[in-house]
This record gives sequence, structure tokens and C-alpha cells, in this order.
Amino acid sequence: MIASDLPAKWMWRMNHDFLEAKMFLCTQIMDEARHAEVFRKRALANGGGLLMSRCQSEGLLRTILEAKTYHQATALMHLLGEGFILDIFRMGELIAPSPVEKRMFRMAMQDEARHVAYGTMHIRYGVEQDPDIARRSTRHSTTVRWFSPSSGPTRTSARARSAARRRGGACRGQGLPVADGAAAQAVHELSRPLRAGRHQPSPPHEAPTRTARDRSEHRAEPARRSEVIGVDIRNQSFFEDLATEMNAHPERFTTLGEADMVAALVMRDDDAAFVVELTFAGLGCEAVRQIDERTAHDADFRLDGALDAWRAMFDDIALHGTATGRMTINSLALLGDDIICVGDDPMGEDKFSRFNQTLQEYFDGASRLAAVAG
Amino acid sequence: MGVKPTPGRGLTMLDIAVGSYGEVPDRPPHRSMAPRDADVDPDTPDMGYLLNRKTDVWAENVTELYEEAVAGSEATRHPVVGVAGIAGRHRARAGASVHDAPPRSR
Repeated sequence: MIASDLPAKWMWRMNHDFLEAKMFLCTQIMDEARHAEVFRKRALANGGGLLMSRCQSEGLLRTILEAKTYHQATALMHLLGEGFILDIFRMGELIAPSPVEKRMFRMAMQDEARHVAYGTMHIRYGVEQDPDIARRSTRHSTTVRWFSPSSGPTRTSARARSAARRRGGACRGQGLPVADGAAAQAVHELSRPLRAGRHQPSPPHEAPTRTARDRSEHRAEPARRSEVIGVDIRNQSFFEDLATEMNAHPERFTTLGEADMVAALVMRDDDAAFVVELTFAGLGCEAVRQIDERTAHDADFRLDGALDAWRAMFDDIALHGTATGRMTINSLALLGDDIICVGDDPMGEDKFSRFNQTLQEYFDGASRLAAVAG
Repeated sequence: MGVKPTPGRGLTMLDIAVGSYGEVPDRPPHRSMAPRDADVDPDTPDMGYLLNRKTDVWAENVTELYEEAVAGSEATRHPVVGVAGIAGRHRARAGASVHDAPPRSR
């Protein structure tokens, strides 16, 4: 409950003119109450226990709670703490044994990603507007470069742009600087050995989380199942059908909340890449269009993988009614072996987590298309 | 000094942030619970707020994130208002664009 206690500690000290910030922090407190409820119930539902609470983690929580300034507190809480928990939830979704638990983790990670988004943009706003904050941050040059207002263009969400238009004014950038080519290349080069390192055999004293046999079985799946869904997925009309299916059943999405994201799906075959852009707004998929690879960089994030991997995912959905095991889009992107999630703007990439359940439900619609076709 | 918001996707906090009410001051002139842009009685007590600069707490996306957070819970709590209202608005708005998609080439 640190993510509830900390905003509660600071909120009464905030000037009431910053009402929207206080209201957002109220939602964070409610989010954390829901997380405590759902995970406490899950831990105890089957007669289990809550095991050991380690003193090291308590010490870190106390450091966060006792931060001297709100900037320190929010950097520790929203960036370090919530960012860490977001990764934990993503990993939880990967290893969760049942669809219910996977959904629990996906819903919780959506909330955490929102909290990270606030912390990120709050620190950036402070650095951008207040020279003192920027000066104090110069010790952490990497951080300053990331948040510096002079770092480049920023993006705004469709919702914010729409509201700004109705107000008759321009909307200020709400995203982070778009990484330049060299920086993006450096990140990709760094992630390659990290991914490769994950494939090294586990030391004997550790339980392997993913064996070579697991991977070979996964890679064999496309060949076995490529005909399950019975549709050529490299086709705009397939994704339009998924959009129609989504829009015909808003009741599946109301509890997830409204989504505001543009996702590009890149499917690579031997000789070419098929790229489709999906625009989600409100409770539905507003537009589907085939685009070229260069245009895909305008999306909030790109899900990029081999055509066989995409086929395997949709075949799994068609077989089971929903993505299972490591075939959920979060699991695939987290492992990064077959499909990776990349974005030029960290705030855009964050939307993959913020609206993950919506994206999964959209893909899961393939099972109903398959049932109709079959 | 009235303001007249124009509803978009429902009437959101982003929609009502118009005119002088929509301008969040860098340094608020009062430390009271009076709404932003309201006339404040001169005898209003000081609430003793400590975070009185916009840079202390603000983020450009904070209102949008608030709307995002409550959108799901609104539908859960008020099934009639939430589901029928949100879904109805969505059908009317989003249905057209998808059905207007180019002819299929499967």
C-alpha cells in the first residue's frame, strides 16, 4: 500500500488549484486498494499463506515514504517503485498458470503503467519549467537528457488533441522526446545481447524458467498450427473483421475503460513485411489501415515479429478461445524472442502496458471469427 | 466570467478545462479550497498548503490519466449509465469509420 500511503501523505499539502493532480492521485489510491484486495484474496483463496516479508523491501518502502520533497518522493515512487512493480506484473502475467490470473496481472499492470506515466511526465514538467529542478538534476545527466525540453519534439495523445481543439487552443506536447536514430540504435544494440543472455543454460542450482525444449516446441508450433485459423492474417480485412467484432461487443471492453492508442503490427516474412496500423479510441477500434514500415514509426508502439509467430498466436487464440500460456501478447513481447514491442516515444510505448487488456481482447476476437468461419 | 464547455466523449475534466478556469496558474494566488477561478472571500482562512508551485505536482497528461483511470471504474459501478452511455456513444461514433473501410480483398 505504499503507493496509496505516499500520495495520501502529500495530497493535503497540495494547493487546491492543482485539483486534477489531486484527483489523479485519488484514483491511484483506489487502484492500489483494488490491487491489495485482488492479490490478498488470490494468495489466501486456496488455503495458502503469505510467506516471508523481507526487511530489505521494508527498508526501501520506508525510504520512499520518508522522502524529503514531493519530487524525491514521486521519483522514488512513480518511477523506481511503480516501474519495478510494472515489470513484476508483466512477469506475473507471463508465468501465471490460469487465464484468470493472467487477466488479474494484465489489469493491474494497466494501472501501474498509468502511475508510471504520471511520474515520468511530472518529473519532466518540473525539469522543463523550473531551472532549479533542472540544475539539481544535472548530477544525473542521463535523466536530464531524457527529460530535457530541448531534446526534441513530443507527441500528444488523440484524446488530449481532441480536447485542445474543442478548447480552441493548441495542445502542448505530452510525450517524451522522440529518440534520434543513434540513440534508438544504441538501445537496440544493447537489448540484443540481453536477449541472447537469457538463452544461456541456467546454472544447475537454479530452476530453469524456460528450457531449450520449451523454445523448440514453441518454434515448431507455427508449422503444426498454421491452418487452424484458416485465414490469411497478412490482410487488412482480417484486422477490420477483428475491429468489427470488437465494436459489436462494447460490453467486453467497458470494464477495461476507454483506450487511446495507435498500434502498428509488423509481420515479417522472408522477403517482405506486412504492416497494419490499428487506432483504438474509446471502447473500440476506430480505424485499420495497411501502412509501410516507415509510417509505422508514427504509431505509439510497434509489435514486430515473424509472420510465423503471429500465426502461432492467432492459432492459439482460435484453438482455446483466448491466448494462453506464453502466447499472450504481453508474454510474447516480454520474452522478445518472437515478437518485440518497440516505440520511438517512451510514453507511446507505455501505452502497450496501459491498454494491454484491450489489445488482448481485440486479438482474442479471432476465436469468434474462427468459430463463425469454421 | 462564465465558461461553456463542449462535451466530447461525455463531459470530461478535459472538456470543462476551458476559458479562465482551464488555466492552471503557476503560482496560485490563494491557499484555500475555493475552486480555481472563483472569487474568494478575503476572510477565507489559509489552508497551509506547502506545494504551491505548479512544478511541484503537475504533469501535462495528469487530467487525461485521471479520465483514463475512472473510465473503467465508472462503467463497473454504474452499469446503466456507464455501459449504456459509454457504449452508445461509442457505437454512434466509431461504427461509421470501421464500416467505411475500403472493400475487402480477401
